[in-house]
Amino acid sequence: MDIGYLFLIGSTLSFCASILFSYLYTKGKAKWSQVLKLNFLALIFTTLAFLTLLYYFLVRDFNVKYVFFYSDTHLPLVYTISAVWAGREGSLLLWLFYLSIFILLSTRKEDKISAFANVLMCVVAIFFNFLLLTSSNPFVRLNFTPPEGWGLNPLLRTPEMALHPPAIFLGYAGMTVPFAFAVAATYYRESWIFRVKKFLLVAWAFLGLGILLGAWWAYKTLGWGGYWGWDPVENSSLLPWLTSSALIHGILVEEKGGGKGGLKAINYAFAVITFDLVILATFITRSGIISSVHAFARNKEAYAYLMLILLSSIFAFVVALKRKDIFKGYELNLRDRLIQVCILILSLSTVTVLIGTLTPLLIRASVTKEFYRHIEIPLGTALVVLLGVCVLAYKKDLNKKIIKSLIAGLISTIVVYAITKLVIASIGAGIFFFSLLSIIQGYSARKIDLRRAGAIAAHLGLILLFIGVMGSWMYESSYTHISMGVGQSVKVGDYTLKLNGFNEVNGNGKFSVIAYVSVYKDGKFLGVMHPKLIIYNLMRNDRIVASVDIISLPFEDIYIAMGGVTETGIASFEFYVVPLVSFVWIGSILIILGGLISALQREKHVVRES
Amino acid sequence: MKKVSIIVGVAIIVFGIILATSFKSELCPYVSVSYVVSKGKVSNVQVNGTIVPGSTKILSNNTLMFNLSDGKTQMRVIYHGILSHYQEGIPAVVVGSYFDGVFHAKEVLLKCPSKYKVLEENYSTKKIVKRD
Repeated sequence: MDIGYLFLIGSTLSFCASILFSYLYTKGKAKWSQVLKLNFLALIFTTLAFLTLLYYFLVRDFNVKYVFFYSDTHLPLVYTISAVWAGREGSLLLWLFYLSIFILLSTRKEDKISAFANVLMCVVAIFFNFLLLTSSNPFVRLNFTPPEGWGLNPLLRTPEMALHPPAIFLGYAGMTVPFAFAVAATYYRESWIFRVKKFLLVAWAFLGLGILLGAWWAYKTLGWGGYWGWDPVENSSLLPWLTSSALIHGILVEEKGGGKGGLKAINYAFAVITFDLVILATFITRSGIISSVHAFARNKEAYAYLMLILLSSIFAFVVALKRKDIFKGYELNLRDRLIQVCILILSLSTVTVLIGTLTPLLIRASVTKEFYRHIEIPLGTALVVLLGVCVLAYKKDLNKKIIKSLIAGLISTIVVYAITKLVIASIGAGIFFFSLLSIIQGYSARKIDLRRAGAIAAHLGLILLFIGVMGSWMYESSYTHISMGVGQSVKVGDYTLKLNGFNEVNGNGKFSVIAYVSVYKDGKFLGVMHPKLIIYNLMRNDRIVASVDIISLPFEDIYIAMGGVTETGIASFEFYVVPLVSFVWIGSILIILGGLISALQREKHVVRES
Repeated sequence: MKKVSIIVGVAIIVFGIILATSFKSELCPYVSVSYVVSKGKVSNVQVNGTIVPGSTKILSNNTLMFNLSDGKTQMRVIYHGILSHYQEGIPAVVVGSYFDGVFHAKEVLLKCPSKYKVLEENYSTKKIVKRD
């Protein structure tokens, strides 16, 4: 038996013991410090299992099946490390590792709620341990040692893809904490929101970071000029992000009076749903069920995941039912109502994405990108408009301020229309400036603490993201049929492309063909772009990768990808002009930073009137 | 507040109707290669299959032609554009319409990198021995 496997068994047993001691603690028969020690032991075992797998990658032990499939002898050190989480088994191990840390950090306070929450989180940990010990065992060995590995998918050899799983799985694992504490504290008729807020914000920020890295990677790597394809894998990570965003806002209402505010039932439901959705996302991301409908029945783990989702929901529902008397909070005021509408919009958005994502599982069909765009663009717009109203909602001179924002919006609409003559862009700009001025007015008069600073950053981020998405989705120009020989030039839109020549580079386990393309806009030279074709020396079939080149200007990206080169030296290219895409990145980064800044705020259990 | 509830209720109903309509119009069924070929003319469908090795032709103007097989039948697929990780022999989903004996693909989906499990399962240890 492999040593790594033994560590996993150790982790499982420690979590089981932790459950037992949590129970004994509630009966007064064990000390809480014993539980904490067991949780620490579990973390050590999980870490050792993780390091063992990492070690096998570093020494290139291709006898280990997982190492064989995800690395080869030419793989650089950085990507050899990131290969640990390139597949299903390693990702689940990473999940477990993060969860072990979260369990340890979230149960430091000694009380019955911690004990109950600890039990729930340990059950989840044991679930992942179970998968790792059975169907997703990363330590399975082949009955011989291949001299060379199958190789890491070349598409994953980018910094973004190396960091995407660690970010996203941290977010997923972190969402276990709000779920466990919501159920546990509700059972004991206590408030849970203050105990989980920091974990929720950190998990939310990392989930956002993971999504952003994925989008950025898709943009830089896949060569279609876009960053969001409404692919089931992308969608599945967006779902818990949407519901946890709703939860963060719902908590703002409930925290009034030290947790006596309204929306208690809604927050409870969202804590549970978010957890269910991260489990669903883990399953979708790491099983490939959606891309191939037939794989579903063959995937044994599918039923385990479904079972976890089902059982956790039923359990949470039963607890809520038994404690339904505690869900009554303060009456909702105007601001609370508006937050409720924000949660409603996020819920509708979640439902839309969920329906689209699950369609291939339920019927033999899937929906096109247009389905999402038809629904999500209006919802996103509504959200940004609502934001503009919401941040002013509890101001004394509400009407005056709203009118100011409206005027700002109206003027910018007219100005943008006069310049561009584009109707939708003008409306978008109007909404952008309306909400922008509201944010400025709404926050300027108040004392800024870290939490507010975070909110400002995230809300500014949202409107930048809105304008960026709008620009890049509605006004992208694509030219997909460009062929050029050396020395030839082609005019596309306002741009002229000229193929200067090729270069070939061989080495480091790959062979690259680099094209040198000069780009001119309205006759002005912008630069030379270097789209590439990279052919890796690998056994695997998917060893050719097109590498794009991008020139980022403040208000648009110029994007080129090479499709192929014929023997006669004619190369084919795709060329895109993507407006405002930098706003998408800046907006997303602000949203993520906003979450992290807010998480730094010292917790005060005080009545927040506003 | 009753008024507000009614407005919200109406908004949700309207949303539901838009959602259902959009869902219906943007639905794109999965069909097999054999089905498409036997029908002769099908529009807006997705077809799952494997890119037949040796069938690829790259024409000028970024036009790609290849055969897609479901193990029983093959069909010719034509696609305009670049596929960054196109390879023969790998599974692909083509989205588009079939007419005049050719499948005109609007989109070609190659398996996402995190989902190569199927391929690996097919790659049994016996084959590895043979390669050596």
